[in-house]
Amino acid sequence: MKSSRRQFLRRSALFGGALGIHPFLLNDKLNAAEPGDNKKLIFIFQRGGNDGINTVIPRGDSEYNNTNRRSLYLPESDALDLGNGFAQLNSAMAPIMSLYNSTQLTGVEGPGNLAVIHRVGYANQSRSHFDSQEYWEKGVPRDKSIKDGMFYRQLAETRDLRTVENAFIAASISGSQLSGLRGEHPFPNFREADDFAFLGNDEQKGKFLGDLPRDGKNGKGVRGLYSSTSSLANSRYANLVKQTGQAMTNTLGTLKSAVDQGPYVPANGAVYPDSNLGEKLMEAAMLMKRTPVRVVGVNKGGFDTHGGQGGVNGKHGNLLGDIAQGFQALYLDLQDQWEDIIVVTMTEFGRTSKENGGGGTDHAEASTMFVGGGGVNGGVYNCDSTTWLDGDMFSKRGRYLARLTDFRAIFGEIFTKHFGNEPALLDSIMPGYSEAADDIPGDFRQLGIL
Amino acid sequence: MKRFAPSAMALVLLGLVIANAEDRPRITGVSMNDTRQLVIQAEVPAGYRHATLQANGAPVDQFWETMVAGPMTGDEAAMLTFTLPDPSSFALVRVTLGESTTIPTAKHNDERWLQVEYVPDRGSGSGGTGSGGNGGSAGGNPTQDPDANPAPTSKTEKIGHLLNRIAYGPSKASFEKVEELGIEGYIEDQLNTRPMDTLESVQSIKADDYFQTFVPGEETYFIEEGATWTFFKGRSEPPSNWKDVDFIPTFWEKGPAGIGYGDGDDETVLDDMGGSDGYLSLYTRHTFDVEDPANLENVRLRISYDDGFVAYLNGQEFARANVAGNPPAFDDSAQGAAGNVDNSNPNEFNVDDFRSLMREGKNVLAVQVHNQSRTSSDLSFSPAFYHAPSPGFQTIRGLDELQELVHAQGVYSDRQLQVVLTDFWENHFATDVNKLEDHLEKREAYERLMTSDADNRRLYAQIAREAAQMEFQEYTFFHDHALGYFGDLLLYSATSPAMLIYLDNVGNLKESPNENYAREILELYAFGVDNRYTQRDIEQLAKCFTGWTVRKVRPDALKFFPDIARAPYTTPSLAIERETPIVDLGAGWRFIKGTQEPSANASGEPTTAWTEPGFDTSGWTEGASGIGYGDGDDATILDDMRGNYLTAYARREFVLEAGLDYDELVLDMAYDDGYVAYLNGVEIGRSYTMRNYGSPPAFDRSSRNHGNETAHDTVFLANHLDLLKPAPEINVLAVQVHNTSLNSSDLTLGPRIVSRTYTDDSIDEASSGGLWSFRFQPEQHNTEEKILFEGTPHQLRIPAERTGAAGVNDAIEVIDAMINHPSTREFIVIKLVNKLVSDEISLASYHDATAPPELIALVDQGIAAWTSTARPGHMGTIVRTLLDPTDQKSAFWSGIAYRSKVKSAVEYVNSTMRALDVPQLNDRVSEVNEDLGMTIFEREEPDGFPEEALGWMDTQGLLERIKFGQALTQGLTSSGTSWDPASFLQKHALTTPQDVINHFNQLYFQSHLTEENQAILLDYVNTDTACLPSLWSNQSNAIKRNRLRDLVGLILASPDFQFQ
Repeated sequence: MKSSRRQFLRRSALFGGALGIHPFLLNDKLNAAEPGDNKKLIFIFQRGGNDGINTVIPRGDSEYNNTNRRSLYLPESDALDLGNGFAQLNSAMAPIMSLYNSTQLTGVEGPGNLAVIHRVGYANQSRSHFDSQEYWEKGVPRDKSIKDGMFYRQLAETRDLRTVENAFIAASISGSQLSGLRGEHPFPNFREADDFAFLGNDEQKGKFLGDLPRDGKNGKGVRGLYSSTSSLANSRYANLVKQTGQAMTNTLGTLKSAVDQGPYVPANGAVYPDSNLGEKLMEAAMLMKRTPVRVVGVNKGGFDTHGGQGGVNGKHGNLLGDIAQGFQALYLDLQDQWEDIIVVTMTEFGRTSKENGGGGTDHAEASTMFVGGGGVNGGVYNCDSTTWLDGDMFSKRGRYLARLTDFRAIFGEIFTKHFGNEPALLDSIMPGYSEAADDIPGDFRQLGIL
Repeated sequence: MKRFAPSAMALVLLGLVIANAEDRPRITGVSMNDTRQLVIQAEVPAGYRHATLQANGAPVDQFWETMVAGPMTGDEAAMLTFTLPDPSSFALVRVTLGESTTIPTAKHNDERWLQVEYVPDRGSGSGGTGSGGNGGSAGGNPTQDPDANPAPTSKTEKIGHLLNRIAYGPSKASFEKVEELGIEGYIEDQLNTRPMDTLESVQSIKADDYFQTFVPGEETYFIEEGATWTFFKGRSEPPSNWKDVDFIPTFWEKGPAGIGYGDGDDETVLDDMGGSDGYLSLYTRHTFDVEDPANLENVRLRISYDDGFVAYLNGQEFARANVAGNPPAFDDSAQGAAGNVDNSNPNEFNVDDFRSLMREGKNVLAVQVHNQSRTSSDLSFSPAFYHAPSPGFQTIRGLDELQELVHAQGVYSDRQLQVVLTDFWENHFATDVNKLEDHLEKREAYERLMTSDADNRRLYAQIAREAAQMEFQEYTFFHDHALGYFGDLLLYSATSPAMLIYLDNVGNLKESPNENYAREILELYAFGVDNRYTQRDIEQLAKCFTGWTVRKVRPDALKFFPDIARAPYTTPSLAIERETPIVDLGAGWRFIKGTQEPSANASGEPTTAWTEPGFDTSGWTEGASGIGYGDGDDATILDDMRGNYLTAYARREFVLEAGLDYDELVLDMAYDDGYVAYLNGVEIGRSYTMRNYGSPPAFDRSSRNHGNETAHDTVFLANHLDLLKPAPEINVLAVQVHNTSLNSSDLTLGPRIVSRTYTDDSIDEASSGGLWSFRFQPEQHNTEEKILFEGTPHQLRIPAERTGAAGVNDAIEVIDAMINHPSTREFIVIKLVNKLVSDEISLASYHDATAPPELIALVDQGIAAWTSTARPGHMGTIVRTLLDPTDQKSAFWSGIAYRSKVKSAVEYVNSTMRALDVPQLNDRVSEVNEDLGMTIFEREEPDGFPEEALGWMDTQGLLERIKFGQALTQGLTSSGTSWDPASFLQKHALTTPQDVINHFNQLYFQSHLTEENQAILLDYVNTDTACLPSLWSNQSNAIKRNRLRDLVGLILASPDFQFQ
């Protein structure tokens, strides 16, 4: 299987991302024994709690008006029709419509590879940023004893993370590791691949990096120090530090060989947004093409819009535009493996349906998710006249939009249908999944996004 | 009020637990009793004030009948036992919880059908840790487990451990200090604090590097910014008397300041400086007259320079920076780039001591400016020389300087515990300076001035300084109160302008409260998440905070804490104290509709002739002010304006009666949307909406939109004294008012001339001479009744109708009450334990007793200390309890604490600098923070940087630490320091690799470094860059030194050094 992977990489490199070539077909055959092995995922965490109501506008709800949203109300001229006579997209997100329509690939107008999902949350919603972000990333609401992340467990349950081959199977492009990828065997996180190196020239770096112990001899340099028995062996975090050091030294090598392939040029004229998120997503695409990585996580901050949230051209519009352009760029750039890709957004909660005194919104409950990828059944979910009754904007406590779908149901579909897990495995990836699904079957109704 | 809000429920299907639908309550048992009654037991969390048992029939439908209901205190978790006497006709039963004290109507509400047993609250009660076992025996020796982490036992281990926690790591000097005072003596010494304003006593911290002086009020200039200077290009030495008063600079050149080149902001550009006939220095001079030198005070030189200068007053040197030599020769270069002392960020020099050099009559200021090198790409020089009525106040220079100051204190202060806790509080109450800048940029006072690139540059620089100053004010308070009362820290933070802006209390208005701060003060600053408060409490508290905002204050009138919080300013930055109208609204004006120019010249262009005294207004109309239409409050209505004309012109003659104080004369302009005002033919002011629209603007020029029509403009006539004519002469005020478009639906012109005095603390909000402060706006305060923590023993009722300034007490009462609330003491003590002792306890693991028992016991001791003082929450008392200096038996001294905490980035950086005796920091420290992921004062999220290992130990974080250690030991300035390895090795008499290893092993690892790791380190110095054996002792001195540096770098990179 390993050799077939290398073949695949070589083929991809040879064909250089030209449109119309779909090496994944070949690859799927090669890997028939291990469904989902080449399946990949990029998650974008929208930190702060995205205002779902001004992201995917419930135009059909008469409560969406300029009384409830004095300065934030978006008229039809600031919105894009999503074709179901009810939902409209904040027009700052126009670039993402190239996924939604997908005319470029199929020549057909209409829902392409983007699922636009409204009213996602979880029971007994926490309105604390920090708790709720953790609950999402760990895939288990309201249980603080869970220490590792949902994506970490997806990989730990399906691969042997002790092997060097899997050391770079997931990464976050972030100055600090995202909770969704935290776990006993640390995955790498870094800000920029080409800056991930010790100081000095190649010789100095090599000497400083050193070597693992072998043939009964001590290791050398940093590698030696992080593989030896420490004086702190019984200290609480000795193992964490040691394994992080080992992950770091492995990552130095993987990233060097990726960077040594030369400057990264996105395929198919993809243009990443000129922003921090754009840089991270381009880096994610580079990793997808040059390394064994399967899961990449990135953050996008700034969604905690308590004040001066603004419209299409304001603070919130800019945040959404950045995300949308990022989706569009990934879609173009990763055409060579689009069938294997899922790009998904997450956010800890939505925001109050009524605007506050500072031209902003406060913490609330359900919000929106976007799921893009070659296998995604595009369309609008949970925002049409059958799922959304007039006045539902205030369906929870008279203040909030109530959820219709638990976020774990969305990831349940992703883990089973995209990554090919047995459904029974979901209880290991998201502990308590089937119990919760039995408790509130409505929240766990499969939307069929895949 | 009838209110029934079940916010949590659990479901039972006739005895079978099928659901735990909202996670709470948790149904733990269902059974039938002897009398065929259904008995349902459920665990419920704290925070709910009533519970019900509801039943649903067969078939199941929408209707739930409330069978049993009863009250709970809500203060503690509880075990409920419901009994349902008649279960037979129901298919489903569920338990709901509500937050209201109003008990829903139920079929059975006798207490025998609902029994509530409260689960003891460890925080306020005694005993009962719930875990059974050795909970309270912190003083005892835990059973020795061979796999357990050892406790510090030797004196060396104890000292090393202590300095790793209450200091930023051991330095040789601090280690010796503890040996001298003893552990108890050292802790007691460290519990004493020192105020920030004695900073200069701290070694290696030079106040001038971090602060600059601002002088409020009217400065009197000897030489203004932008004055024309005489200068000589330093291609050779000038005559030796060039700096004397009587020197005549015959062949010198002239040009306005700033003089320089390369950075695009100079008035006089020296583009020949870098060429083949270039020069390194510039000699400049400017003469000025002084009338009464004996009565001068606060003489100051404000100067932007790049890269160095020496200034002379009447031939005597009185200020210099960045250049050596006496005097420096014309071809001497400056000693390093001045960095940020550019035109937007000048340096202030207090030269008051040199006042005696001033003489009556003619004086000269002479300055020689030096560049760093002939190839340097820039030079600049822009001075102002002045004196001021007050000595001014110090502000931080900027964010970089503030970050540097934090590290300087961390590395060099001998009040280490105080500094460690200062940084702890700063992080606990973290605010993001970037959000402060964003907010200031959008305030009308600044936004209206941003009309040109030059204005914007200047204002952005001012805003950046003000935002950094707000952070510095917080930092100073946290420093001075680091071991004081938590109540002061909490109240200060709540009323600090940085926090008010950061968490949007500035936008918390009567009609539409903003919940951001109300939520976070409970979740992050006082109670801890979900710790005995509800969403309703957040909403109630947000209403208490309505009307809280900020203003700017004259520094000399600034109130001190706690007055500034408990008796805050209620007026805006610029507040009128008294006012007498001279030309009031309703006065008669002559006006004409702007269908054409009122006084066009021969070629049809606009002139200001119509604004001059004596202009013939015979064709004009008479009408009372205000003039306008569309908003229903005008005396003279221009109802034909729409679609016909865009402007109106108006004149009013007035006489200034004798006895008026001209300094108090103000033109107060209500306008919509733009105006230009003239006094006796000269423009004296215009709205920002009319900037750059010509002088005078044409009659068909449309204005920009004036967003806030209630905001008046103020024009100080005192600035135009030369135009004012005393009685009996007649003055003419003329105003042209412009609309945004022919279709606009409103126009307003309401000018008044008044004699006005302002309150003493008033200051123009855009002035750089003020400080930001808390302000309470009574008119924006919600005066409803508010009830907090309803139904709990800590219920707080804030009465309705607290009007006026008293409204501020709504929130202050809640903040004061928080100090006595069990949630606050739990949360804060646990966080202190996380900082000083161990991160293996959290609010959750304390509550469910899954944390290590010795840490639970330690928290309980800390909580007891919280309430042991007359005023609760004294941090010094609590910290002393945790550290247990006398007996040294608390969990702080146990194996759970010793070498078991991973350093945060700041702890890593500061401990490294202390380990290496770094003599001085440089201005790259802030970049180090960014690389290591701990941008203090810039964290976007309000939760602060983590105190836990998991937040710091990841691949990027570890790599950056190692790179920082490499840069430091290689002597690179990018490490934020100027460390010289040679002098370090010499100072500690370290000559061989084993010496170096021993030095660090003893000081830092208390000799715990393993043989294997020592061998790896030794092997490193006995290997060449090709990784081949190469004995250190056989190498040249240069190679020996390089390998020793790398060896130190490798020690800093080791796993052992990541721990504290």
